[in-house]
Amino acid sequence: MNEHAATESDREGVQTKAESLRTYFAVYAALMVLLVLTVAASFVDFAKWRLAHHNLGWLNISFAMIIAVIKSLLVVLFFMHLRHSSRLTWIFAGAAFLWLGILLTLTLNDYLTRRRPLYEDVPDKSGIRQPAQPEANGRAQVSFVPPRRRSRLSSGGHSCAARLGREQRLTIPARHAPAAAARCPPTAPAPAARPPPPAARST
Amino acid sequence: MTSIPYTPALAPPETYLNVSYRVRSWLLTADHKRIAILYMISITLFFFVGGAAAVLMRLELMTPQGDLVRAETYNKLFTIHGVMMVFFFLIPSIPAVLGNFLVPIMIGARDLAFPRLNLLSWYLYMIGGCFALGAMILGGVDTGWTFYTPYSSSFSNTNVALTIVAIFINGFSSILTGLNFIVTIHKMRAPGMYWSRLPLFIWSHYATSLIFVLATPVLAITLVLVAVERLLRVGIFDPALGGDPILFQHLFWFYSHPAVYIMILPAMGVVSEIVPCFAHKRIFGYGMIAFASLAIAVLGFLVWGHHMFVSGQSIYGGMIFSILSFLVSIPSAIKVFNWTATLYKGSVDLRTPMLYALGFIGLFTLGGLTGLIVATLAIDVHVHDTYFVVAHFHYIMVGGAVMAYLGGIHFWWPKITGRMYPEWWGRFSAFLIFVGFNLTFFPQFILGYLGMPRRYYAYAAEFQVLNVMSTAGASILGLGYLLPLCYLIWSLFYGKIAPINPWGAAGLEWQTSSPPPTDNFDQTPVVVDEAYAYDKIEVPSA
Amino acid sequence: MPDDAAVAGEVARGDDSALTPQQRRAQSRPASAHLVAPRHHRPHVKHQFDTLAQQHEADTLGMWAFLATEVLFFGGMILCYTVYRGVYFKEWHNGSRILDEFEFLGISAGAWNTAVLLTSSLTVALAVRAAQLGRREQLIGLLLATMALGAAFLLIKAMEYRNDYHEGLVPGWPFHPDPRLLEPGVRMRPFELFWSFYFVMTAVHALHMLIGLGLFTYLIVQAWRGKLTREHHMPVEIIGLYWHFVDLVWIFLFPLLYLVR
Repeated sequence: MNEHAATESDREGVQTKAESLRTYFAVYAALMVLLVLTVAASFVDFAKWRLAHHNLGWLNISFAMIIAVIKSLLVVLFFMHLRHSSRLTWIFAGAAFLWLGILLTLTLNDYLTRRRPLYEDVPDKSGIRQPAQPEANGRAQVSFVPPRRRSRLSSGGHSCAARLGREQRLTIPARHAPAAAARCPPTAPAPAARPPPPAARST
Repeated sequence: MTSIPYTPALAPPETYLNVSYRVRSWLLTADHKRIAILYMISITLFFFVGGAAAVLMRLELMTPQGDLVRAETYNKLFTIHGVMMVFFFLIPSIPAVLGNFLVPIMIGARDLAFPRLNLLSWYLYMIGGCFALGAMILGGVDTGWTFYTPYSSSFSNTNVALTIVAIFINGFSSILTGLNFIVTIHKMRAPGMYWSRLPLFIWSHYATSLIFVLATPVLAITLVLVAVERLLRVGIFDPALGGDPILFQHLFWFYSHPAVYIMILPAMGVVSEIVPCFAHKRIFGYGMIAFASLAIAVLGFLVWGHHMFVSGQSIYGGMIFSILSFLVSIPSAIKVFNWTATLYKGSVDLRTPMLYALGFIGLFTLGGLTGLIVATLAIDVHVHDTYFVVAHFHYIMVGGAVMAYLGGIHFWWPKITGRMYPEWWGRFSAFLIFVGFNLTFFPQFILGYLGMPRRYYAYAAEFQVLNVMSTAGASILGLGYLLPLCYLIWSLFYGKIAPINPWGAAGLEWQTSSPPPTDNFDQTPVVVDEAYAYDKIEVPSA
Repeated sequence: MPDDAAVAGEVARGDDSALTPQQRRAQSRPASAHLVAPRHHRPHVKHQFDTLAQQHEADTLGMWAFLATEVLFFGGMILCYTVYRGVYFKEWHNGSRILDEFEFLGISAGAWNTAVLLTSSLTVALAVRAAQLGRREQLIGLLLATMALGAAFLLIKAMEYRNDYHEGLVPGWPFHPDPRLLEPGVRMRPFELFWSFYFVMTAVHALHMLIGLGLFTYLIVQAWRGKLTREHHMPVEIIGLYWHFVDLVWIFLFPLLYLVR
């Protein structure tokens, strides 16, 4: 059962790209070994390891992703026959990941250079919600304490939470200001306990 | 009088139009030319829906007070205008109508690679369009075409979900069209049609298709996530639920900035065909124009953050995006210079398509140069969300893409329908559109620079003069758009019968009869020269 | 001025003596190509293609281009995942640990599912081979095996979902996990966000699986009727590519969702 079908061609000169059975089973075995490896690696907590005071926690995700990449390469090259495919197919397969790379790189270029990462300053004082607390419609009774300082997320918006004195923070982008004004009719001055957020500059 | 016996040769030749007249033969057709006609009719419908919203907005803005419509209605109007024009007119306009019709003919193929997929993409487009119209009739949407979260996902009380479904479905239509073009251009070229001989129209459609295929899925998943957050109240982007709305903007603009190039690249392809034909000269810098198309498609993916300079992304990120945005101007300028150089020492024939093409070059240049202004980080903080931006992208999209679309429709009208359009009316409406367009949008540059914000139904009284000018221009523009609709329909019945090659053009599509037969060519064409061999074209002597 | 219909008739007969010089010029065809090569038609080839090889190449390229769109489709969610994981690492680690605790025979459901899906990838690869070699019974058997494995995946997934539902881990349903599940310092909102993305990503993946199962059903019917031959095996190859891609997505989703450490 070791015949090579790769050289077979039909009447019209169409190359069939079948691999030998041995290749398929070898690839499958390799995939399974890699699966065991990645699960095993996940039991090791590299965050507890130190190398000259450096935390090695990043090794976990690195191992997991490297193994995932190897597994996907095996699938793409052998099961999807990319190995025997035209250069054009290689380009299309590569382009997809290149474009994914563009998406990730340029977005992370923003997030990794923010002065403060997202929501670092949100004190989630409500902490763990009590399961015993009956909830009528899910989220409505959840109290979510807004940040005292204005989060970077809400720069350039009108906060009508301050006027409503509600706990949930509603941040409306500036362009929707008329609509926001319509939804938040002027009410009594906000209670002193909850002053309007200072300007974004005050960070 | 002797009676002339009937001979088959006297019967009109069989074309894709007269092969069958049954409704079924249109609605279930797999012929790319008939699907192009279906698209043409449907995008015209959506264009006038979006245009009607624009007219109402301009009427409202004649006076500083909000006296014609209420604020909420105005929000819905600009949303309808944006959604209809962007997703249901501009994105499919040139690729799905002219591209569908011409891509197989220009490369000498019988049809696209996947004809039934092509029909499916028209049906998806129509289903999406019906959802969008339905959302409009059931009360409209007020988020703007950008669906910024958390307003769209948590706060707006309008038909956001329905509109998202519409755009999601329409996105699949775009993906299928792009996929079809890519495979067709790669695999179905006639013998001798090397890449170096491909018409520039094909090059630009190839670049466009890459964007269709690589960008549209990101919009699709983003809209799915917004819909999930909105319908299931599950945290995705809403800061109140732990998410980050700027992440939505990254995802949205990763599609929507390249989408701008989806609109302009095919337009550039059309202009690259019209200019050498009416200058009777080989296109200048063929290789550079083809390369510039691909460069624009790729660079277009690297600049999306310039829509988010004031959104709260990091300053460093903004700087990177600003620098990358400048890069796009290089291939764009290459194209403009090459078209201009093609005109140089050509014998320029100012027919209607050429008027549109020249209008395109001028208006696109102005739109592109103001693009540099808004790409400058520091200046954009000043003009962001003002009418300056509105004027800038209308110069690209209306002055660029719509002008080229109309130019292309006139240029290939004889091939598509087998009839000539009335030349005088064509020139007159091209002139009207040019004048009306500039009168509408040039004042908006000034308005924006003076600080008038966009998306408001009322404004400060000192802006009124310029706004009235803009509204006056819009009415001229509207008339300019209605005229072609009328005379083109008229020409279907009363226009002169079109010859095979009315403009003496060199492209392969002018080899086949007007209108072409269902299989495009009676025999497989063997290409021996590029589509711009105007120096070699032989004019037969009488 | 001869009327248009008459001119059209003349042109159709190839007689251009009735034409004015402008009209004759307009009737001239550009010299950039010759209409020479005759067209002939082959039985297995669709009308728009010239050869079977061309048709196969077009089908393959079309599928790869579609898979490129799919990469970007999942890519949008992967981007969200990356950003939130970086910012809310503690919460996502906690969520991932809870996810990984649901197990059969000491092995987490996620790992089982990965094994099941990798095996189904093997059976699909073998099915494609059987189709290329024209072995009908083998093809049907392997396709059935693939469908069984796909269904097993969905079953395991459904059991996980059911467990998550009982633990109150479905966001917005409402979300009310047992406080003892949470590590100290874990904030509720970001923790919930992990579950949002877990459900969205796996549900979109499961939807792709369902579509795949539908496509396999179609293939089995076609093979049963003897429509899939050595010459006409492309549907198996194309749908096989799709299934491998679904597998590929899971190869990445598994470490991303279950193994956040």
